[in-house]
Amino acid sequence: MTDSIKNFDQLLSLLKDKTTSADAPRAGIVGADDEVLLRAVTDARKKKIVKPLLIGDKQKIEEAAGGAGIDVYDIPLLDLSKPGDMIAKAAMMAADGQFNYLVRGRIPIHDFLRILFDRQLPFRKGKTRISHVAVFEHQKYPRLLLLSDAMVNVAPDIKGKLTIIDNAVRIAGQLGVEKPRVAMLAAVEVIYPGMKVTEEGAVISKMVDKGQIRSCYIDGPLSMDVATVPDVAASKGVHSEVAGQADILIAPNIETGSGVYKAMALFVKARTAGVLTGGIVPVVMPSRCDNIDNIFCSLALGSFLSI
Amino acid sequence: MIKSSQEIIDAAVKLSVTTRRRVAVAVAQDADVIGAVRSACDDGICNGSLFGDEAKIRELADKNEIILDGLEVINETDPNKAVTGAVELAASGGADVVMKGFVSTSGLLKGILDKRFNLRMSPNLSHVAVLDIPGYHKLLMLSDGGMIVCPDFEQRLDIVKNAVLVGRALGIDPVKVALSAANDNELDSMPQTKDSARIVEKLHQDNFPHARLAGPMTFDVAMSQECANKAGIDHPVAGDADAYIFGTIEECNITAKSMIVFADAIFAGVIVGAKIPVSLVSRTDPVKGKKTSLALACLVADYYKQMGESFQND
Repeated sequence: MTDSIKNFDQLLSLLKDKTTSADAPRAGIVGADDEVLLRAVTDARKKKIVKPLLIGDKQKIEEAAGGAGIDVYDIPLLDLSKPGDMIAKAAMMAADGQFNYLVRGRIPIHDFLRILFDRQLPFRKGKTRISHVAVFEHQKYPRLLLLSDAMVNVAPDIKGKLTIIDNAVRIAGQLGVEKPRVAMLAAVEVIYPGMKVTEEGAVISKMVDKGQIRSCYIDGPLSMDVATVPDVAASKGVHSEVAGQADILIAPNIETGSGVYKAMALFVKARTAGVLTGGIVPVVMPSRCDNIDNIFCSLALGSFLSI
Repeated sequence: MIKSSQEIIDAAVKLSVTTRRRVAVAVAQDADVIGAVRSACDDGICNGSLFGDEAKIRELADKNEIILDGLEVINETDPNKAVTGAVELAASGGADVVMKGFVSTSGLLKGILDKRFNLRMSPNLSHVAVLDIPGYHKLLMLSDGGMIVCPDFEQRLDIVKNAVLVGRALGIDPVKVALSAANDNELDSMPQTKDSARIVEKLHQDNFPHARLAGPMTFDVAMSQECANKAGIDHPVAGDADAYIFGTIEECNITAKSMIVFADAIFAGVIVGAKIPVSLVSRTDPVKGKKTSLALACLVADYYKQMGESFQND
């Protein structure tokens, strides 16, 4: 049994151990004409945790690099000017085994997802549902905290939530959390018939009691503070394997996931990474509010998950 | 313009220098509530009238070492009558704020909306949270994370209007309001982006005063000029929102709590839509948050008074 990874420094040192014996994972940076992204990529490349291929408009990429005062001339580059072409090429190269993961650069999320997961492209893996998993590290929290879904699934029903949970549990497993603790987030921690989110949380946690789900602990509905603060859980009388110590937070809908993700990125002194799962390779999804450190963490996560 | 939770408290204390504000607590046999009123009273924010089971109130006070001196205790063992007593005092002008004690929110609201008292001001009452977030340059109002579960169009309009009232009570004019969504563009695949756009459109049509509205607008664009620039959005509300109005109770509650838990934000909350503001604090709120909530309710009450009866009957 391996210990679970508690923070990004730990993840990085494990990753470095792995990349000394094997080649660093190859990543396609799709839409690479972004200053902050290029800084993070060159940094990660220097630390030998990634072998990048920059995909995008050569002139724009060189301008962005010049603005940042960084040298990208020795990084391989694929000169394409249309986002659609960049994404299609990246998807085909990934299908061809040339990339271990992809990184979304300066392409709007909505367009990026629509094109990448178009059924004409070989990027979708069978019937697997695509979902986004965010990973936070916070000094006050003794473990990595995962959140899903902040970017892809708009209003997942119970079935949809089960696959979102499944995807997140798999990522947690790769991060060494053997039986993750999953909180179904809601505004309250009791069940109100008619309040849909509380009903969904209840049904899904009951499936664990019935032995239908064995890969994780689940409790729901739980409010954010009951899920993550042991004192609040105790004071509200909520005792479960999950309350106060969740590994994974499942948001009821995309608006909630997005709100939490952005609040964390803007106001919480947390390190943040995000990855899309359900494609033939992981896709790292830096957000526009990420600073260079967070993008670096995302690259480290992408490399770690695909090595 | 009030910009922090400390400034909310300071402003309420200043009001109480001339005439001490009074909070009427409905069903006061709740140690946390008594403690909150005590500390607000000690800080000069307000006085308290505790309606409830006097024996239990005194027992709880003893047990928790809360001194009741200076707080009025009105013995009423029947919870419904305790609610009515507190509401009646406020309706007759004897108290500025009604505070929720050991009673359900719905039980309390039933008392407040009792037709005899004629206290309804808006078709929909809503909860407005005011967060003091380290790293944001002013206070942020969030709504509705406490009352209306899944607001329809009309309810969301009232949620916006109620939040603007609270913003005005904090001295903000115009109140910059963003309507939430997970994308800044109207998308067929995300109905909330369209709902938010319709709310903005309707309020613009109605020339709703004292507000600058934007929506759909993502949280980071509303709260960060840098993110707004990166997203290519140039709008007076972007990066400078006073209020962020969510689509569901979960969205608001969970986002707010993530900032309370992980960003050390100080939370205060008030229910608006009646002529008397309703204060409710949670057991798990820290003392500072509870005091700020009471102070906030006093400011809202004062704002109503300044606006006068004509405004209340609009």
